[in-house]
Amino acid sequence: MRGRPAVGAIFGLLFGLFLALTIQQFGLRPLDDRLIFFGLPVLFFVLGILLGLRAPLGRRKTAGTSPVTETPAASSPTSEDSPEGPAARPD
Amino acid sequence: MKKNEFRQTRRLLRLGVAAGAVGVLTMLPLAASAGVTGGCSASATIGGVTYTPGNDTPDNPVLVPADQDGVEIPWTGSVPFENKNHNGELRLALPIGSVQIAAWGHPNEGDDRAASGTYALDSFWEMLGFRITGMYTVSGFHDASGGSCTGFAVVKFTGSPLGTPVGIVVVAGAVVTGIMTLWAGVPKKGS
Repeated sequence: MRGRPAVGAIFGLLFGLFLALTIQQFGLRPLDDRLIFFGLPVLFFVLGILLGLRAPLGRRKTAGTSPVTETPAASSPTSEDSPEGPAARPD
Repeated sequence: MKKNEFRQTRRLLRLGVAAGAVGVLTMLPLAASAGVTGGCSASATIGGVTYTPGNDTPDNPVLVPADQDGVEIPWTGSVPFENKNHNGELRLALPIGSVQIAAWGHPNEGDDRAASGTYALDSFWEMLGFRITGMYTVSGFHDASGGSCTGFAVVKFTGSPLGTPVGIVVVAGAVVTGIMTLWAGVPKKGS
């Protein structure tokens, strides 16, 4: 499974920047706080790429349709394959 | 394929740690700064509270109401040295560099060493064209024939950011880019 690492990188960087500006606008840190204004964009740039590579969001559960669960049913010995052969059928 | 992804992830984590270390190191000089040098003094009274350059940390800022009209700010300032041929400026600090927001200069032949007045905050909003909220660091210097001073203070414009155009753009930008970042983590069809 793979998401969109390039989208994650670009929007992660922008999100970090807007988050830093939001923190500044709410008066929590000053505009010249370099840790916030450089740290958050870099952090979310990296997180965006990781999110895009691993794509953990919105995955469908595949247990009911996966080959692993289907294979035993498909290849399980039927009455025709069984050593007893068709004669062993109850009906 | 899995091995490549793992290697790529490890490389990205290393990059993140290095970037974090650079961020912490660049913060250290800020922590070591002082409020004012050179013996000058200045104060302003806003809403009954008197502020000085001692209000120089995010925990102890100068509070300026951005959501009130008709705010008058009485201020005083003085220098301890001969004050002829003076000049100075105020700058607003940005993440990189700063911008000048005020400047002054005068021959001051009479050697006045103190001044006071009242500043109408509405004139600042008129000059700017819109209101702002948030926290800012303002720094400045005053040079004269007998000496010089430097100083800075942290100013916080109080009020809801959602009541200002800048605040609306910033908050909306954070929401939209946050959603897009999350969307990057949704698997592509057919992957």
